[in-house]
Amino acid sequence: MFRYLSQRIVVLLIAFFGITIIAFSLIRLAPGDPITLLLGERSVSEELRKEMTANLGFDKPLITQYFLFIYQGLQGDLGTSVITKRPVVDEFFQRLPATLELGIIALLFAITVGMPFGICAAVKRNSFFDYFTSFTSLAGYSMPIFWWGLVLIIIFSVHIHILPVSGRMNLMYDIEPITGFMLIDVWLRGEGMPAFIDVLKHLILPGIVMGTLPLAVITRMTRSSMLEILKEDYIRTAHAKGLTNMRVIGIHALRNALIPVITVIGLAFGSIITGAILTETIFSWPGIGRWLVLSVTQRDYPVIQGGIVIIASMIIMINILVDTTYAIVNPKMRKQT
Amino acid sequence: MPLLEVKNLTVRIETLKGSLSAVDNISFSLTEGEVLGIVGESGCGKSMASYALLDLLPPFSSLEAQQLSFLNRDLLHASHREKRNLRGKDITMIFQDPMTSLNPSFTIGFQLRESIMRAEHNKKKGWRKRAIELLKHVGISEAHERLDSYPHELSGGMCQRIMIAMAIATRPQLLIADEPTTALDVTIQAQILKLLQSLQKEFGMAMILISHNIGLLAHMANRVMVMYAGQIMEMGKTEDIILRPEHPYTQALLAALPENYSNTKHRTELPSIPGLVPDLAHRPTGCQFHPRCKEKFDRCEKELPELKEHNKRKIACHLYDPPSTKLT
Repeated sequence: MFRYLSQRIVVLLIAFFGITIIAFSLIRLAPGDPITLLLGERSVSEELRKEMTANLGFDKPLITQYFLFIYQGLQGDLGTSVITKRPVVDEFFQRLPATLELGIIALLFAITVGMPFGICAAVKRNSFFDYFTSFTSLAGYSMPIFWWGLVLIIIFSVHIHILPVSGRMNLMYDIEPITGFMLIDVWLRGEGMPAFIDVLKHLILPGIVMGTLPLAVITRMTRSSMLEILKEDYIRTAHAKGLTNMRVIGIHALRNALIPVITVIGLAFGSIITGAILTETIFSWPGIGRWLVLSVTQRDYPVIQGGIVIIASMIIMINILVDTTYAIVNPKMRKQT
Repeated sequence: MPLLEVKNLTVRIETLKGSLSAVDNISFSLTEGEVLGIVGESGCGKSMASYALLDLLPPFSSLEAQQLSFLNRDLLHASHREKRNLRGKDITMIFQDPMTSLNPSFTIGFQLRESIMRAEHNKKKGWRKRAIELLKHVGISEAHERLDSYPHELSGGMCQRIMIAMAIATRPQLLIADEPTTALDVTIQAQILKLLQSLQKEFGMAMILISHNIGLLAHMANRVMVMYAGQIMEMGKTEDIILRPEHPYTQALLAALPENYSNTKHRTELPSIPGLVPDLAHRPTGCQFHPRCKEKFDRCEKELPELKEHNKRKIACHLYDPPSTKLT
């Protein structure tokens, strides 16, 4: 198990450095630069422009800039935003809870709906329910997120008026964040039930939109994994022991079928952080997704490269965590050294 | 009173080629404490017949029968719940490949406990003691540690012993052993068979032993049923069938035993039955065995022989059944 994990870690470290190079260079390849955007339409002298560039450190050769970025980055300093002049790390962690809160809700939705549907579809294979599930999850998988989000807003917010269009909570509540998770903060600030329900209402639509893709993937994965397991000899043994159907499926089959599903859930969590970019833009959600989109339009180099690197490291850590869980769930992996 | 009574059992499997009868109209019975051996090549419906008894048929298959009763209880019209209550309690089963028949994600103790609970009315305490007792009973040393082992940490023989321990946990009336030694080493095979034999005597339980090795049944079974293409070819007391086989198929099976081969020094090749078991979608006409039979004649191709009493056994072969038209 130690060897297995250390191998995984080496591979992921290599991937990490690849990501820093891409994050660093891609935005610099795009036309435009932060200085021009900062200056706007004002005409300034060439000297002043050079001075500003030098102040921000963009006058150094690209290689130097890159190594400086890595060197400082490894010490926990990812630079400061060109626009707000605040450290990138601070800006990131201030916005992260909003994204995490949404992501966790989305993933919970995907798991609690996806796994039961996947299991039932496998058990009732080739039934109407199975075809319905397969069709719906394929539709969910292929649907463009931004379109789906807008459709839901039109139906539930514009026409039936039961859910809010955007934002994290109603403007009448002015809650200073403590943990950053509004579902918790409303209680810590003593706002009570009405505020909690309001926050929850704001989470429903973006949660569904963000959870749709993972939902489709989890459903399909659970179904196919379950189908595979139900053919196994030990399932026949479990039936021969006279166990109830519930127990055979819910315990004997599910425990084995979960192994690949856990991997998918872990990866889905990674994809949720990236999925945040679209969802947060549609729903004006003040998380890291929208922050990144904004900084791209402003060519805020330190924010873009820093943000991407933090997200990448988080996804890498999730991957390691998934691999470890995988080893714990699967006894065959556990005993190998 | 017969323990098990099966009359005209047919098992159909729905496939893309149409509906196939994997088990074709077979009847047999079993008395208490009796060992019935079922023999035949692979794909002859031996396992299917036993799965039908336990309601364990794979998807897309169904059974028809005139009678199917166990201890005078009608299994044909029993609810799923009634049949499930019988399974793993009064009728238990062990399978061909012990390594894949145990769930890889649960400890031996967990899996054994499920069987013990079936017998002891979900009594939660004391299962560990009973589990250790059972493991010792089937010849597993260090039973204590084994309870916390996972199946992949044990050998095939050990896994089969654990399957047997699970199967006897409820003191069943009938144990169905579906090729219990096929996946094991030859040395282990003998041990497992001895264990099954001694447990059968000790508990006085009836046993259906399925095998493709007719020699193995000679030591174990009271009666032998020879199956081919889902049908019974010959059935009778073991000594009659093994010592004086009359059906050409039974004779061919016996001749194909390597033990018999070593007695005849002049052969250079292992004897085998030429040809293959028929594809169920393209069954031959007449007697199912005729394309491979050494003694076939015209009638075999045209007419399906009936299973009839002949010389202390039941046999389905035209050799022993003069046409009724000639008699009159």
